[in-house]
Amino acid sequence: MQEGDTPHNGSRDIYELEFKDLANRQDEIRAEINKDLQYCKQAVPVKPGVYTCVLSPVVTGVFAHESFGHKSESDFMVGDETMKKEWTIGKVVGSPKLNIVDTGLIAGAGYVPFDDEGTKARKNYIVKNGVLSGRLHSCNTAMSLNEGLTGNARAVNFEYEPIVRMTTTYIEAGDQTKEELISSIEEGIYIDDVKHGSGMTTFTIAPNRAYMIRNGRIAEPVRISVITGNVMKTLHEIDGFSNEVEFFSFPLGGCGKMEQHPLSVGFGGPYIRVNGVNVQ
Amino acid sequence: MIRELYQHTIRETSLNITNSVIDSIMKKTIRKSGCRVYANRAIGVAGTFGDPTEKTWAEAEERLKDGIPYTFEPEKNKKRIRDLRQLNISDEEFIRESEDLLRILDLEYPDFIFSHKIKICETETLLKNDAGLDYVNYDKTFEFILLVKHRDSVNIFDSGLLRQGRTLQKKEFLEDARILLDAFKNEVSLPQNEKIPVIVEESMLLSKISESLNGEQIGFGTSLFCDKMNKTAFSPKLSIIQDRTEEKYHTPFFDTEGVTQDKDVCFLIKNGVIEKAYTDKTNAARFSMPLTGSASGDYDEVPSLSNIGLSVVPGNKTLKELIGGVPSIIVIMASGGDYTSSGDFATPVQMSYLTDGEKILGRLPEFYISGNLYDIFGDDFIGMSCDKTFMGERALVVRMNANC
Repeated sequence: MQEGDTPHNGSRDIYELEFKDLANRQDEIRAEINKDLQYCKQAVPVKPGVYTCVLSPVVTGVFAHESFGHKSESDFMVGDETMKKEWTIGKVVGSPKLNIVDTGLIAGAGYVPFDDEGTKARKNYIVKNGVLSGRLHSCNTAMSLNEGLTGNARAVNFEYEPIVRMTTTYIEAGDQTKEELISSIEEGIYIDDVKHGSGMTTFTIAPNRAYMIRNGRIAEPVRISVITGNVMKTLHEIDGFSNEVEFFSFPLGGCGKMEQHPLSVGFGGPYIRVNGVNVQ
Repeated sequence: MIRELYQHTIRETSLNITNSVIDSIMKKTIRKSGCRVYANRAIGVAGTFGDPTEKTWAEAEERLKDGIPYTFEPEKNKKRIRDLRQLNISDEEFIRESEDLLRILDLEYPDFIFSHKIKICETETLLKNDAGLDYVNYDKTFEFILLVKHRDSVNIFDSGLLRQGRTLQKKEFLEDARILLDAFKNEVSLPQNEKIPVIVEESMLLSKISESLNGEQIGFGTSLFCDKMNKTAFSPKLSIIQDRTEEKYHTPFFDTEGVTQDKDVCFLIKNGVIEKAYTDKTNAARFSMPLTGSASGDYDEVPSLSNIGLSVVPGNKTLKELIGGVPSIIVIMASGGDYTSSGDFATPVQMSYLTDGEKILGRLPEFYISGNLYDIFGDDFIGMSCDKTFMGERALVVRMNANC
């Protein structure tokens, strides 16, 4: 779409296991288009800086996947003594309310009841109450690190070998409302939708729609190239979680790891508030 | 009714590298065939693995009932075979050479762990029909794709060593590796200039131009370039092409509709002027635009237009001449950044080196680069090198803001 001289690409991902559930969703799509049109008309360039950000559930899901999910894939630890020490189970890695889960048991693009080595899915806490509680395994990595299987050996298709991959990764809910998370922020940014993300030592999220937060309210839309932060610092900077988790699937995209792309995965989470995010 | 076969075959030997040694070998040969039938201004497509059978053709004919419109004549009476294969090495020899390379790296750089892949990939892409079209493209390359991690580092990986080519360039790869790994140990500071020359992989910066030159987007008025067609928008030094020449690995000289271009090149931006959108047959006809042969699609899909890879045309200066001794940044990893809808770009640079155009001076800390599309390829465009001094690739050099 284009309003004025700046175009905007919007999208709405709808993913259902039953074909009948795709029917009668026109209002949902119209609402999304109208939201995009307003954004396209009004968005202004953001002033780069460090902000407190509130992430919507879909952005939280991508953040969970990119910020810590990839670091939980244990293949990078095999044969590497430095990483084994760095990633000792029991290490405090985030704020005490932070719980990150990966599981193949949730309906959607990350539904993997048995992985590509035949291991049955289970609920895997990667982080529980801010403490490193587990990691994701294939048979090979579980054997190498003398840990249990988790159901995370996956190949993007028949052409490739199974490697350690996520399934559905999400952050668990807290006890606040979205409004409560926003109301205490004098100047911050609400990230509503996401184009893509990446995660190594630094996580990145390229927002597709974002808005300033001023005096505890959502204000004008802003155009942002990328938000980033150091993963291990940022996980300590999450100080608010809303009380409901939403799950998402990207039917046309997925996760990339080396040459295996795009692998179907699910995402999810509540609204979360994160301090000290670098916004460009 | 015209029958047309679009077929892609890949033969690959891939060495999986873990902890600086080969831990497994994967060999694969995969052929995918798409059968297309054209009749009554419609197309039917059916796909199969391996060679097609009469059953596959019958399925394609059955799909004609779906009424997928295709109002164009398939290409007729054209024949060309382009064979770019030069690499002649047995799998056993390839494995020996790779083991030797890893042994040298491990011996000379025991502080580093090397992982990921070394592979040989051979492709065959053909498009043939019973109206006399007969196009085949062959290619074969090796690829060294090694991730590098310092043994004391807590990063999943710290850097990468890459080289792809049609001859086994082990010696050249090792030379690059030694330069980069020696420089890795020497940490240097980011120069404090407001803007600094940056050598960066072109696809990262060209993504917005590729998106905005899409003929469908321009036709529907939703491209950043809608009001800039046939106007000077960029530096007069900048020309951008759709490149199907031998420079591009595993890129057929024809698109999925069998359209070709003179000398396998199509200029879209010439001397800073946006000359053409890229199109497939459908969008060229719909919007009365020149046909550029930019249809793509998987083996079993109806050809369609999607964003394409573009190339900056090299100038006549070497990297050393382009940089002129000014401290510059070679970006090795810059993951996760993007353009906004108005063309502002920013990304973190996770791994980079400082160079003067001749020597690698040291490893830089993590920082951000940013700039606007019209500046990056306007006043801040320095050039595309004519030489391939770095990892076997030409170097795109632009000035960008860099800050920690």
